[in-house]
Amino acid sequence: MSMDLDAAVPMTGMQDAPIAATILCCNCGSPIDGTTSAGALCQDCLRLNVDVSQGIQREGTLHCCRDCERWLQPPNSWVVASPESKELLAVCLRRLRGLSKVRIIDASFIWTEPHSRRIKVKITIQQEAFQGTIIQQTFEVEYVVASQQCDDCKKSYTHNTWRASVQVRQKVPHKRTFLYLEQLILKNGAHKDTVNIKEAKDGLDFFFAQRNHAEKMVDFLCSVVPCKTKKSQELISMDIHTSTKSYKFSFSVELIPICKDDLVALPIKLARQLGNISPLSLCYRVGTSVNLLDPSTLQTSDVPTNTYWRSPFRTLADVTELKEFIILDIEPTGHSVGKFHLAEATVARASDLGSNDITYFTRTHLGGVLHVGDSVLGYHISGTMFNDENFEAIEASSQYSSTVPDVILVKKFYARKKKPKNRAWRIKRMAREYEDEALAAPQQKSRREEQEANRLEEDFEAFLRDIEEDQELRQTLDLYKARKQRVSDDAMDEDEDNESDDGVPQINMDELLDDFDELNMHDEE
Amino acid sequence: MAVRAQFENSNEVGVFARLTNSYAIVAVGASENFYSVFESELQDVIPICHATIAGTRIVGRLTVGNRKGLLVPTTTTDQELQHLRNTLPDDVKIQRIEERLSALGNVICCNDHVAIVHPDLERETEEIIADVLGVEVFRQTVADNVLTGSYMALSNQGGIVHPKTSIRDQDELSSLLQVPLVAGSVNRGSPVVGAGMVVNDWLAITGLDTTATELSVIESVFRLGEMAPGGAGGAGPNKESIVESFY
Amino acid sequence: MVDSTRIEELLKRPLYVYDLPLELLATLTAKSGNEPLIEPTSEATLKDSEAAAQESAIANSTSCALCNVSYHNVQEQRSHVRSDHHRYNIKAQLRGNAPLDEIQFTKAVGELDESISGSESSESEEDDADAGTDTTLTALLKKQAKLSESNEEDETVAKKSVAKNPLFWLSSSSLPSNKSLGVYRAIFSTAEQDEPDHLVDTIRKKQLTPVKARTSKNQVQAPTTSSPHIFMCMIGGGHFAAMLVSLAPEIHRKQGGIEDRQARVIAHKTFHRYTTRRKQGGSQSASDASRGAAHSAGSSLRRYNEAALEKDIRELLADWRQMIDSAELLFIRATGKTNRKILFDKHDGQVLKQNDPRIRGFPFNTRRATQGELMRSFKELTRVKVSEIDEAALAAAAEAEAAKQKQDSKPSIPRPQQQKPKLSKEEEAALLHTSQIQALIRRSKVPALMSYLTNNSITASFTFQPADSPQNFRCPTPIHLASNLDAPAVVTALLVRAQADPTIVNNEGRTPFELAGDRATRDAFRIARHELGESRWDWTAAKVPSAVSKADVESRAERERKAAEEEETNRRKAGLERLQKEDAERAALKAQQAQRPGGRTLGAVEKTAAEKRDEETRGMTPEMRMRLERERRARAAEERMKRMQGR
Repeated sequence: MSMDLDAAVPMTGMQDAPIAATILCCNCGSPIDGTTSAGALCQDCLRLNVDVSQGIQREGTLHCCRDCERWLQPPNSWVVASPESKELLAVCLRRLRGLSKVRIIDASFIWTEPHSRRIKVKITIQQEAFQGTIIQQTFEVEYVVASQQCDDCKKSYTHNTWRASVQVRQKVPHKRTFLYLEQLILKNGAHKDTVNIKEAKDGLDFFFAQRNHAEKMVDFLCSVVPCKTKKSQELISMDIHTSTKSYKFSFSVELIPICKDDLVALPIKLARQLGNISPLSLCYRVGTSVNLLDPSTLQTSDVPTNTYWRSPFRTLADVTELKEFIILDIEPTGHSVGKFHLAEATVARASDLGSNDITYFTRTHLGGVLHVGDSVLGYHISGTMFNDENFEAIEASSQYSSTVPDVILVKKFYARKKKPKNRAWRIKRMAREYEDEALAAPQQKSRREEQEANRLEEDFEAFLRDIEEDQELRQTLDLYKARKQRVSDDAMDEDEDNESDDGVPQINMDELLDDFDELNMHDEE
Repeated sequence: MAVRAQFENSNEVGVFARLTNSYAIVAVGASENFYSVFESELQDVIPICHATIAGTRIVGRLTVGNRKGLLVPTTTTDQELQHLRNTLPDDVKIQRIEERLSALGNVICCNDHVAIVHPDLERETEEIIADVLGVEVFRQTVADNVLTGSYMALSNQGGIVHPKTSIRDQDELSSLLQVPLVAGSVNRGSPVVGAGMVVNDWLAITGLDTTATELSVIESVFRLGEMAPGGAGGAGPNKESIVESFY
Repeated sequence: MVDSTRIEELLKRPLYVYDLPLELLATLTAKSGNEPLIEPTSEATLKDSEAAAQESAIANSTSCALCNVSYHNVQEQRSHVRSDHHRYNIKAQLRGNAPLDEIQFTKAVGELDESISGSESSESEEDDADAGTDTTLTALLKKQAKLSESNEEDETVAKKSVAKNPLFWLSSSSLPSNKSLGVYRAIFSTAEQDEPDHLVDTIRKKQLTPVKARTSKNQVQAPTTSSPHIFMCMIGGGHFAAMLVSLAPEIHRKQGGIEDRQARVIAHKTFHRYTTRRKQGGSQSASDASRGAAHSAGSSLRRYNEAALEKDIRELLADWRQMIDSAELLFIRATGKTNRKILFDKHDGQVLKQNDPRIRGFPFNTRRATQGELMRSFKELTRVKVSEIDEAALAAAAEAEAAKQKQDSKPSIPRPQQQKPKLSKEEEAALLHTSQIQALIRRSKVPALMSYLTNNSITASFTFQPADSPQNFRCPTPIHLASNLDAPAVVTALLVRAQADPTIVNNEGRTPFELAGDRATRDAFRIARHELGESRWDWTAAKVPSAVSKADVESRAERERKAAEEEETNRRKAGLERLQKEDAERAALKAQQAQRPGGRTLGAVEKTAAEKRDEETRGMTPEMRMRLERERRARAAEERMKRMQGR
């Protein structure tokens, strides 16, 4: 190992006056000036005798993760550092014991072949040797680069590393609630601690490394959606000597299977409890509880989660059963609650136009948005056979049988292209892992899967439309500006499609967020 | 004559011994090696006293003395004082001093004629020093250090001071003391020359680490080559003639 | 040529009165005029001839780098190293202060209250400082007294005070005519002093042969009464130093054969007790006498120490009785009533008598009572001063002086006669104005003063009458008086409204600003400078520092007040915390004691009997206290009786 010593630098500096020797160097006997010398040693002897870098290691080991190329910063953090970078120098210097006792003047890398797995650093230090004398010394330290897999990489290569899982389920044929939930989770960063997210039938599985992470997730879910939770644990191992046990925990979260715009038939008893609302009502919002609306009176009511699970009821009809109607005549009654305006409307089914003259009279809460000639979606009750006990009870009851309308209008229908490509906004998606991903080869998708994918796409499109139409919903989510490039690519199409999309609610650009992550990614591409 | 010695692995000889022209005091140690060095050099010349001061072995730092007297700090026990009185020659006056700066060896540096003392020493102490040791007392600093006893070794022949003493200070001190002075170190560069060695008019004992250079400086400034035991002085030229007549 | 070299040789060495060289002695004559000469500028002392024989290795440093002083020989160097000046500089250097050169130091001595004593222990430092200020104060007072004395002499004069001059001047035919030798009068007896013509003979008679130093063996003090000796003592500020010193010099043979004549001290002793009151100065007994007995711990300590000092001194003097009685002269410095009482008051075995003809004061300034100071005084007393004066110039000066005096004598002689019977009208008016204005300034009546000045159309630079009164000596104008009395309001009014001249100097040569005693007054001057403008007066001549506006001063005062308040609150807080902590500790201690009943805690401070008694009597009326005391005594007496019987 090479060690070169620089000249000792006396504190007083070089004086101009000729040095008058007052003492003899105690080592070699050469006359020197005692008032400026260090410990009665001449500079040469000082250089020979004093090694200020004593006690500083001359070799060390650096640990580097082969997969992510990060460097271990003891005790257990991993930092990203490119070769010969400031960060790497910091890691190197921090590895050296004893360096904190001296003053580091300079440090730099000496170039080495990367494949040698060696890093050489030249360090210049200063230290006071005797009173008033500072010695500067330069030496090299050689580091051996050893590989060590970092925790994150280890985790990614290991199965079943989870300790707790949260299984979220909603027993409905569509995924809209989950899409909404996904956005909520993204917005609140509730997925930060997840080890893995998997899609399962009727829901999602979240996996966590620790139980409290899972509990946090469950708490979050309970605070945003109406749900029921159940906890179970499985004993993995137990040390009989110390009674230390390790468990796997599963939290089952079941969401209420009622979604927005669903038609429900309440048990009459429950309807009476909920402010004597009409048992046949429309779910207009799902928050932490289910909000119901009687479209003929604009009476609203909340079904709290525990009330629901005490006497559960199912949807009478969901959005897939919506039919299109044309408004023939509409007249507001003047009664309004919030954004709902009660109106009396005469509608005809869009499919009946031209074939017959059957019209339906109904009261609707959409008096504010509907005009004569508009298309509207609604449930056609008189033409539908429901297989539901509650509905039957309503029909049987003397009080409510007469109040069942022929048609319940749910929302205005905007005619638009099947798949508008050029939305100026977008939402983020979570990276998910399909449970059967490994099994399914992309080219030989089965019919079932194809159907599934189509359905998912439809659901997603419906969700996006919901976001566009419902301002209240929009406020709970994070929307981002779509990438500009795509907009310009499709500029021609947009012009053509403009007219057909007329009247469709658009999202104001002010509401959108800039997506910096995405932009960064894009730059790198 | 200059000799190297070590007190139980310590080179600070001046801490554990006090040497004057009429007696020597040596700390009581676990081994007799240190004592035997003194014995071999001084036997039959001056009495060597094994002693403790205030129960400690740092006798050299706690006491100060010359041919005429010995001063011990107030912490010295009566028994120790009695022992010293019994062992030392009768014409050596021994006095216990009530002084706040009780490490007398560190704050006072003297030969048989003059003493350089710490500037903060009490006036009464100064008078006692003058009376008991029969010296002229000066309050001075050595290379801006107040611990004159630590940073200066002095005999009637010469003196060695802290290596950082400027030439001007050396000249002043030398003219004040009327002995030649030189700046130097002992024990391989240690500036505490007072504590690193003991010296009288014909013998110096330094730490084992002392280099040949340092030893030669010490021998030359204390004129140890030319002096015979007894400190009579002027033996230099005589010696030669004696040797000549011998053949 | 040969002659002159011989004489130079003669003068090289310090001349000792009692051992003068023969050739000098033979030719000695009293100087005719015996004019008070200019203080000897250079004491002709050069390095010993033997010094040349010094070994070359021994450096011959000719200066002290620290004090910036140079000297000629080792003796001078050694005395310099022992001097207060050098000591002060060493300490200053260690504390990181700049060392002072000789002139600065002498100047500073008057102002310094820093101790330059040898003992540095924190306890004694303070009272040393007191003592220091004491001596410097007395020195200052003496200086001023001398000043006024000389002034008076100048004015009233005519009579030459031959007897007053402390030095007796001699000349020698073997010396050049411009060289004269001075001897202190004090070393002669009163009878000898009465016959100045025979002084030379007495000097011849007094010559003594030097004694060889005895060997160290029999150096034990064996005072010999045979040789003539003197007694010297100094007492002041709790310090006492006394010395019996033989007049016959002693020859010491030093190493290297240097022959050194030294004074032979037969016996010496110094005491130091803590008697001066810290920060206030003055002795405890003086304070008790003027203000009534104080009951602090310190006061009782000092009272005790005073008594102890008295006892020590009297015992010492009794011991030395024989020697003192046979001493030729007694040089005593004891200023103040208490100090004189210690020495001269009637007591058993009284040694010194106030009317002893041998008693002398020191005819020069002395410093704190130490052995070193006594030695210095002795040397000063017995050394023959050599003064070199150009006779012709002197004669010319004397002539001029005489002429001046002749001139002066004409008006000055009639004046004192005239003054009493009739004063001129103007003078009468001036005297009236003086008393009025002084009264107004004393009472700080600014408006009244202003109106008085305008009504009587007196300028602000009016000079007080009579000019020779001691008060008007220092404060000849209203502005001087106001400044001296620290009356900032009056100063401002006089300067700004009455346009008083701040450049007038008093008889001490000081401007009003220099008399100001506190900052407010000094600030008043600076504000006035600000308000009047730079060009109004020559402010530099008035010694007024740079101008400062009123707002600045006020803001500074405000800042300082705040700082002081803050400090006070901090101090209080700290005190409160300390008290709380102490309470807690006491409680803890109590708890501990409670846990171990019967056992004594080692750490606890045991109260002394006196403290216990104090505690018991606290809060009692004097009668009660007396009764308690009587009871206690009775009990003690009973106890004694019992024991006596038991034995």
